[in-house]
Amino acid sequence: MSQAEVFVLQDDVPRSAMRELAASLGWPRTGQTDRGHLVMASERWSPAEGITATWVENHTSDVRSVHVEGDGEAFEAAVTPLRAALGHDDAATLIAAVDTATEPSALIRLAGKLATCRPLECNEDHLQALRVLLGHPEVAVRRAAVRTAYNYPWSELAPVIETQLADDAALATQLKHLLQRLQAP
Amino acid sequence: MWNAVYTPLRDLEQANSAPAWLAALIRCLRMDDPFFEATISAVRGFDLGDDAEMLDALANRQSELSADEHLLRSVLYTRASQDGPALEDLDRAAALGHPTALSQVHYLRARLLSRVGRTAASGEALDAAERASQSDRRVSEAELAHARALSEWEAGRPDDALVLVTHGLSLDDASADRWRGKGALCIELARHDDAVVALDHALALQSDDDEAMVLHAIADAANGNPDEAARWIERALHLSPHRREALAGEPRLASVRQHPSVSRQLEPSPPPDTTWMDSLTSWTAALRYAMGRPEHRTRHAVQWFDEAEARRIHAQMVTDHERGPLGTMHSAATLEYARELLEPRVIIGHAAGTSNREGAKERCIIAMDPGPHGELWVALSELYPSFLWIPAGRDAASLCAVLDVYFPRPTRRRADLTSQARGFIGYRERIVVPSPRTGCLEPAGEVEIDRHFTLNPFVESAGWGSAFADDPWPDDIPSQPRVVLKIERRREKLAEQAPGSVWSMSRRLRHSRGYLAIERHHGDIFTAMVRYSPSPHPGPVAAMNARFGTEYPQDLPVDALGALLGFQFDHATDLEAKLDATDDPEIAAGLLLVISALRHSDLDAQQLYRTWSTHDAASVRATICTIATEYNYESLLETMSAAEPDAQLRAEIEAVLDEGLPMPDLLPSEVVRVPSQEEGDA
Repeated sequence: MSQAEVFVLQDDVPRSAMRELAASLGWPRTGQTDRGHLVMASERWSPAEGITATWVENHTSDVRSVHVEGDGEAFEAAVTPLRAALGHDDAATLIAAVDTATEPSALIRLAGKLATCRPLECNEDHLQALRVLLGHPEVAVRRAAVRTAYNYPWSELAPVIETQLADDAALATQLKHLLQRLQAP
Repeated sequence: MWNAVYTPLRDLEQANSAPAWLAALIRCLRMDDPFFEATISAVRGFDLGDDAEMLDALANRQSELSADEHLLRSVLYTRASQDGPALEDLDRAAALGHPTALSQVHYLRARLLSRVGRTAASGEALDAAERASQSDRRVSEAELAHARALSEWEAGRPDDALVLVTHGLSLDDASADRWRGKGALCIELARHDDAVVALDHALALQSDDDEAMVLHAIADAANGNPDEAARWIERALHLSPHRREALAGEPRLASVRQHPSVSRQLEPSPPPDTTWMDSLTSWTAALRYAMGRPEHRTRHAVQWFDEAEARRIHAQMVTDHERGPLGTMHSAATLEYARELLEPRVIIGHAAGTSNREGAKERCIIAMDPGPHGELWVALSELYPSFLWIPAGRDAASLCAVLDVYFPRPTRRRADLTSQARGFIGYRERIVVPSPRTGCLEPAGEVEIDRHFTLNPFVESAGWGSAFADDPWPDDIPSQPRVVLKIERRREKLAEQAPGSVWSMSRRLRHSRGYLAIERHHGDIFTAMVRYSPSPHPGPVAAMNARFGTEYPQDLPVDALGALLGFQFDHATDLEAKLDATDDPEIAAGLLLVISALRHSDLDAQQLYRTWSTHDAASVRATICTIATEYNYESLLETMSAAEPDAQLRAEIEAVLDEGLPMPDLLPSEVVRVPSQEEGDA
């Protein structure tokens, strides 16, 4: 079964760090894509047969991340140096930061980072963090939460959005659209 | 089984033991069949050298092929000399009743059947083609008559063939190819006066037909007219010098070969006297000797010039750099620098060089500094200014090491191009490029910039738009009928842009095979991006930077530099230094727009915008909003909406966020949807 791991990188990790690491490990570069309006800039390497490591720059949320896919020992062999060399925040750290951050700008960034590392199946701590963001008094933070919520394929999110819709006239249109998307078959 | 028919014919011919009738048949099998070739070409479409891939795709198709696909596959098999499978596909296409080109299907069947000796079946297929052409009009009566003539000839009845060829020409006399065919047939029948008349017709219709010229010379020789034969040989060799050896051995010219006017044309040129080089320095004789050794000669077939040719090329290069070769854009300073370096250098030889996509060959020139401290220089083509020549040491090993980098032409895809250089080249209509009509500089937008690079000798002329991540052109476009028109049509298609991408036109760098992309941002800002493999020859770029105060990366290939000549090339780092130094909000706003264009695909730039998004001047903050909107930096806009002190600007930001950030404007003709793996990744 294929494995996947996402590293949400800290803001001070430049793409050059990934390039240097890949070069030092002898990973062949297999692709590169420029940013488009709806296309994220990315760069891909193949650490081993069947393993891909992709640097992704989400320009909409201002989040950089590395996605590793593959399986077996080669997967671990690819993930281990990345984990050691590139500064990153795990999901628990990001979820905790939602409770401590006060600046809207920081919370807006956190919304994007949480969406980047959301698990496939619903996680209650993660959902609670999203609930906090969706109910934040600053509309800009709520906007970011709605925008990034499109990245969650969780049916458990729909009742949260329904609740929020009852209280948030400013973003009613956006919330309705999101709810339709979540409830679509 | 069909190939089995040909194999003994080839063997017999090579053994030179075929009886006369079989020899004639073999000649007929190779006789020009212009309409057949034209039909094959038309069905094939634009040949991009990918027959094998197309054939593979059609052969592995799970679903039933349509009549059109059977026709296409038959053509691909024919081009691969697999006449048996080709006939099977044509039979299938005929059985399915090709809706628009049934006469072509039967015509191709007829020709292939005739080629494999099934004359009766071929005649029936031509009858079927004639019936089908009543409705689809794909094969004219004249071409059908010509095809019947070819069948008669292939069946060993040349007199009957001549009657039919003549009949075809009476129906339509505007085909140079069929007149040439008649000329060839008349020569076969020893009717040389008639051959001359037919070939005169052919050459009147197509004056550059070197094959008709050769046939004319053969007919003239048979008529005892060696001076006329020599005249046509000279014209044919002028167009196709490579034919000299074959013509020297052509048996039908034997009667005139010793005539002075003919022998003068067919004599091989004497080898150039290259001993003059040995007096230039102490090491040139050793260089000549070493480059003649097998280990070097097999890598790069360097040929040395005689002194007169060397001086002629040098003089031509000096002249070319009075104003700059066509398609280049020099300043007075770069022309002066080019001449200053060129004048003392001595041209000594050339390597094979490469061809561009369209097949035009360009020699790679080898030069040297005279005197005891001089060295070799490699000009990747004669159009490179001397300051972009690459130093190549003094011996065969160092010369080959330079040539190895560029010849044979390296194959590179986007993933291989690990380095990038981006620069701001100017604003719309403030950029200038040379007018092809007057040679004077004129203001430029997308169209004029694109036209400039179509003529520029440092890039391939055919480009592609942002809808294509990688070069969609083959390295070599095979020679084929109507190739210019086909390239132009494909060029229009490939110029299209992907929605949401920055408008761009990319081209291959001519020798290093990197990509040069011109991008348009914010409506009127143009940037250039070079994707490249680092050059191992930093010397020319370093010297140019030192001379002109430019800051091109030293590992930039020289063809990239040649392509960028005449444009400014401001780096983001230089502009950011100016941004830090200015107190003027308007200047800052202008610089931010240009920097955003240069760094649009660089996430690290968002920190810069966050810093400037709190600037005191509303015009600067509005500029950051413009950047964020244009490039879909939505979280930046959200952050600004929370902090923006100006109520009106804040309302505008929120309105944009409510509506959703619009895609950048593109003209409808610029848009094409090409799904890519990258989009899936994103």
